[in-house]
Amino acid sequence: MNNYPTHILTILVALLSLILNNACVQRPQPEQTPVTIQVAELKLSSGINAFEQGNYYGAKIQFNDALTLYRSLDHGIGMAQAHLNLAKTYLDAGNLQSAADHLQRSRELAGRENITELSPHLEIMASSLAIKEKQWQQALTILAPYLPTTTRATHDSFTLAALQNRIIIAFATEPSTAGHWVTQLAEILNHNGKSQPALVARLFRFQALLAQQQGDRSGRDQRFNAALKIYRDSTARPGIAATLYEWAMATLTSGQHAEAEDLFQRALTVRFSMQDHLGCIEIMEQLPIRHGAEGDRAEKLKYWLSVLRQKELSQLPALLPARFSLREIITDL
Amino acid sequence: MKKPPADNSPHYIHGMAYSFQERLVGTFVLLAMVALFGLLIATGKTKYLFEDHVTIYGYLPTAHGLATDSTIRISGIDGGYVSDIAVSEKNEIIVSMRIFKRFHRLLRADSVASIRNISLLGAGSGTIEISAGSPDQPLLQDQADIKIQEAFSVEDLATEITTGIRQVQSTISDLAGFVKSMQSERLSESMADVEQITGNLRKITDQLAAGGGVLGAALYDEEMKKDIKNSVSSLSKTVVVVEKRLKQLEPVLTNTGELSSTLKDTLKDFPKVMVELKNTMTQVNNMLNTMDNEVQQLPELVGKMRILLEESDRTLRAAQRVWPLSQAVEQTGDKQLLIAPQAADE
Repeated sequence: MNNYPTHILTILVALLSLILNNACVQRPQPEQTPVTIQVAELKLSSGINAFEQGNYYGAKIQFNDALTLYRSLDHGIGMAQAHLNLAKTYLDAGNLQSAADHLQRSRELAGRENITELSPHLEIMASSLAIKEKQWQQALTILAPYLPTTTRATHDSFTLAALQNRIIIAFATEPSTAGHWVTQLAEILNHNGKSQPALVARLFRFQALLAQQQGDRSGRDQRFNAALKIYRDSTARPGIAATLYEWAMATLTSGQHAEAEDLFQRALTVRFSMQDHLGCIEIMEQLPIRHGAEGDRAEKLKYWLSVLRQKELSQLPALLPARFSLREIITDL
Repeated sequence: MKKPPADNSPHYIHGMAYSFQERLVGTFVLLAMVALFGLLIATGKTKYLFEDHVTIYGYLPTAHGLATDSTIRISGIDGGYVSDIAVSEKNEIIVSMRIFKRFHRLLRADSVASIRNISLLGAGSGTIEISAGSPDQPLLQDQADIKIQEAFSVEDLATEITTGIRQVQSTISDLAGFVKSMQSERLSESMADVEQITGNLRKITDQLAAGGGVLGAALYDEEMKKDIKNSVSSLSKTVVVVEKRLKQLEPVLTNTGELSSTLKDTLKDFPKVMVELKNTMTQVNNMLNTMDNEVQQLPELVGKMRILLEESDRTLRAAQRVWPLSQAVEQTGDKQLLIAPQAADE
């Protein structure tokens, strides 16, 4: 019975706190987003995570799920976002036709719904697609409004992406001008202070290519190593694979065949783990399939490589035998 | 008379810094939550504190399905709970059952306790069902013992099934031995002999059948007599052959007898095995029915869980808006819904 006053006191304290809570602290109830939209947003967010890890197949599934949910509500902005994300995924996975289709759908929806904030995303994406298709002039025209006019200001991610694309075009068309653009990127990052690690790593990769141009092998290797370290620290598989591939290509150009083969094989393993089949083929076309590829076996490998080349990312079941074959090749290598 | 000045100043609480108000209220809320939590625990432990009761004891070889606080039902009504489970000196499980006084009069000398509702999915969910005794029987006193019927556990069922399967296995093995003992080569040889004997017998029968109609005439017909003589001679030879064949057939017939005896012995156990198999199948069927009932409850359980989770989610969201949780929990900003702009070869 000694507990009786304690009970009363506890109840009084609880009631008092509830009253005070309602009177002074309660904040307005945040506006509740419909569950379907919340789920769709979650799918987009999960897809972006998968994309950043280089899991293009997983990303594609999440974005398509989100697209289906947005379509069920005729949600224009959501559909435009999902299409744009799909376009970027297909672009990185090497499926240019699908990337162009989704980009077009996103552009149409953005126009219909008057979503102006998507414009820079769409333009940078269009320039990246043009670069992949080697439409240099078209890419330059799209990029022009986004290129930085000064290196003394803080620039947004669109400008930085545009500048990176400009550097890629310079390396491909006028290698002698690449240095100018790379210096500009370095100055901007320097001015911005603490930059994103991925941007710093990208700068190192460009600087490594410049060093290669100048015949400075040690400078090249040093910068590629620096880029690789940054990507590894942030477990960014696409960055690791891209660095290894660029490095391998550079060493191949310099006639360092043994180093090139080692780097190609490392890049191949990373791309295979990302299920980036087209990326794997890109590497394997550089590597002669020398081990165990004779007679029927060579024919078989050629056949599966052609399947991998033709099939899209969406047809994973059809790709499974090809993946096994690819694993076999990689093990042999 | 001078009027006192109107006090238009706001309540002192509104003069405090907002963060201080938050802290004050948060402190109160936390204190209240701690106190309520303590009360909840205390209430759970003292649920039956003021209920008069008697204690009776039951003995079991295993406490499978029982736990302290397991419900005791008397004639289907919740009439008490298991207060303690202990081990006796004879390594038996002593189950102490606390029965509420108001149900005491239902407990008689002929009352029987049994364990029910043992879930296949986990232990400790069983209840003890006590049957109400006859009013003419003496009342079961406090501290008395009661007989507990054991529940049929899954392990028991598995043992039964295993025994049944072993018996079926043994029968099959006997049958295999029987078939093996019937040596096919020897059997076919004997069958050939039997066939030959049958042929000879058919010839004799034909001769006799032909002679039957003309028997009178044959007594006067010399040729017929000669024929009969020949026939008798032939019959005599045939009998010798038959005798020989029968001797050859003898081991076969002996073997057949032995085989029949073995088969008879083997089949003697067969009905028993079949009955056991039938019982086992019934038990398996019952077990599946029990599982089916449990599985049918799953959707409802999932639905309830969902409601509970939604409620918890709402409560947590509300709690997150109160200091100090509002300071500790990071507010989720806008989700990233677009892949960041990136260059062509990332």
